[in-house]
Amino acid sequence: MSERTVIPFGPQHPVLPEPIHLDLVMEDERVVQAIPQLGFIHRGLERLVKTRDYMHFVYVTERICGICSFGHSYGYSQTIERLMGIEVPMRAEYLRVIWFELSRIHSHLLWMGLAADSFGYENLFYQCWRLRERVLDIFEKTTGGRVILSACNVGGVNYDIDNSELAGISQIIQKLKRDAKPLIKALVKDRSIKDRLVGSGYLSQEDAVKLSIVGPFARASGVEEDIRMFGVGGYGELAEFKPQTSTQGDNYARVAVRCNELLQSCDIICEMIDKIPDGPICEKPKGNPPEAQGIGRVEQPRGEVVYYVKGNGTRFLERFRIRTPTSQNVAGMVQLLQGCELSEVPLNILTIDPCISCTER
Amino acid sequence: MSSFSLFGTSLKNLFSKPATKMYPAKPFEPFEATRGHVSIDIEKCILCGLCHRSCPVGAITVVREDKSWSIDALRCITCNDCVSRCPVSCLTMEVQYMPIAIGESISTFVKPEPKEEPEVEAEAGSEEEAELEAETEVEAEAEPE
Ligand code: SF4
Ligand code: SF4
Repeated sequence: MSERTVIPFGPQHPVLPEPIHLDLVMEDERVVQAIPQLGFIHRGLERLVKTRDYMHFVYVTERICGICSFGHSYGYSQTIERLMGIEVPMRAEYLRVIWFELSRIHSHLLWMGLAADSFGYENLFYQCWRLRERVLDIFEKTTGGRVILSACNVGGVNYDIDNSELAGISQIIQKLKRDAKPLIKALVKDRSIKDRLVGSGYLSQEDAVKLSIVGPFARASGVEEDIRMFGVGGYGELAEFKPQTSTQGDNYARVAVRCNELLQSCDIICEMIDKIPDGPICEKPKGNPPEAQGIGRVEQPRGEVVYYVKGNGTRFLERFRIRTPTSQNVAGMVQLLQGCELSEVPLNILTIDPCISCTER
Repeated sequence: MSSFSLFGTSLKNLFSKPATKMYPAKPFEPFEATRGHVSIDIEKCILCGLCHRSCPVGAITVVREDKSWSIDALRCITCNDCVSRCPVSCLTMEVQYMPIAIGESISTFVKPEPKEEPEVEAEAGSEEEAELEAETEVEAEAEPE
């Protein structure tokens, strides 16, 4: 047996914009064990729930993470609505789905760019981010914010989009879908990328289930699970929804699954815009959250997020807790790293699309 | 499998317009809806205090006795709650972001007395004066959560 060395990876590393530290136990060029260490950006946001009005707290949830911003306000609002028995107007549900799917597109494009950058394809990186800019422009035009939308609130949404503007958005999205196709073709067909991705970072379906992996990471290993398929909220209005899966379970499969999800999100937005009903956009909640507990789940770009809230009859909540996708997926990431080459480590970490800000709150 | 799969796209990019906005050669044009900062038409304000109570971060302070309305621009998260709640629509969300601030960022506006009253000149200031005033009479409100 050769000698073992420990190489520290992160918390500052060029491949990841967020801080995660790994101790890589190496045997020559091979990783035998990866020990993750989290907690560099813990901000104690969950605790703030005791000092913030439950209606105002939605602005805190938005700030948990910049990329999943809308998703967190959506998930929190949905959970509180369920706890208080609020019926959300249908138009608001449609608008929420439209914004949520837009944020999925922007998250996946961002990730595709980062992935391209990590295997040295600068050209593709810039092209993905250029497309993403169009989604951010839609956000800014409709809500006034590029990253923090402040659009979703308990009982509905804060902004309406008029139907002519929605038609414009539908056209932009169709064009975006057309323009994304060559990039996706490059990502899934290009020889140099395939050489790099196929077969590396393999996770079997059995392991994915055992480690409770969620999101595109699990779906790339053949686990057919996506919260959107249960039709909660506006998703119940979709004609059909099928999770995008792959059975290969390697880095290549994870890229392909996200590419397919991007195209699927474009279709969902266009379908929602075609079918959106007229009506009010907000149902003002009355009273305070009751002394009870509530649970909500949404499918964020990175996977399933579980929200837990506990009310105590006052306008402040007793407890708020989030289980984020990355806190599940870190277990799978450690599994991927065991036995891989040192040069594969950045890519294996990146393809699970970790979001450390969400995980540490 | 293919190589050079982005060749066509790259070629197209070479002959198309730049993707970025050519700032500062072309001026920056924000969207109409952009949330930059909150401004007030103090003459219309009825000092009801609704904005004060609805602000999630406590950026607005309304003091009825002094007829003053003040905002801490650095604390404001531009959530638009105050603008949508104001009963007389005297608050507006401007598209320009606040300039970088050094030190305190509280601006205070004092509601001018109605025109008929004689002590107008002595008491009330124009908006600029009020802003000037703000720089001197700010009170640091550090409230631990
Ligand atoms: S809500 Fe409007 S009228 Fe009332 S104090 Fe605020 S700015 Fe003045
Ligand atoms: S925009 Fe929001 S944070 Fe800013 S002053 Fe108004 S209510 Fe407060």
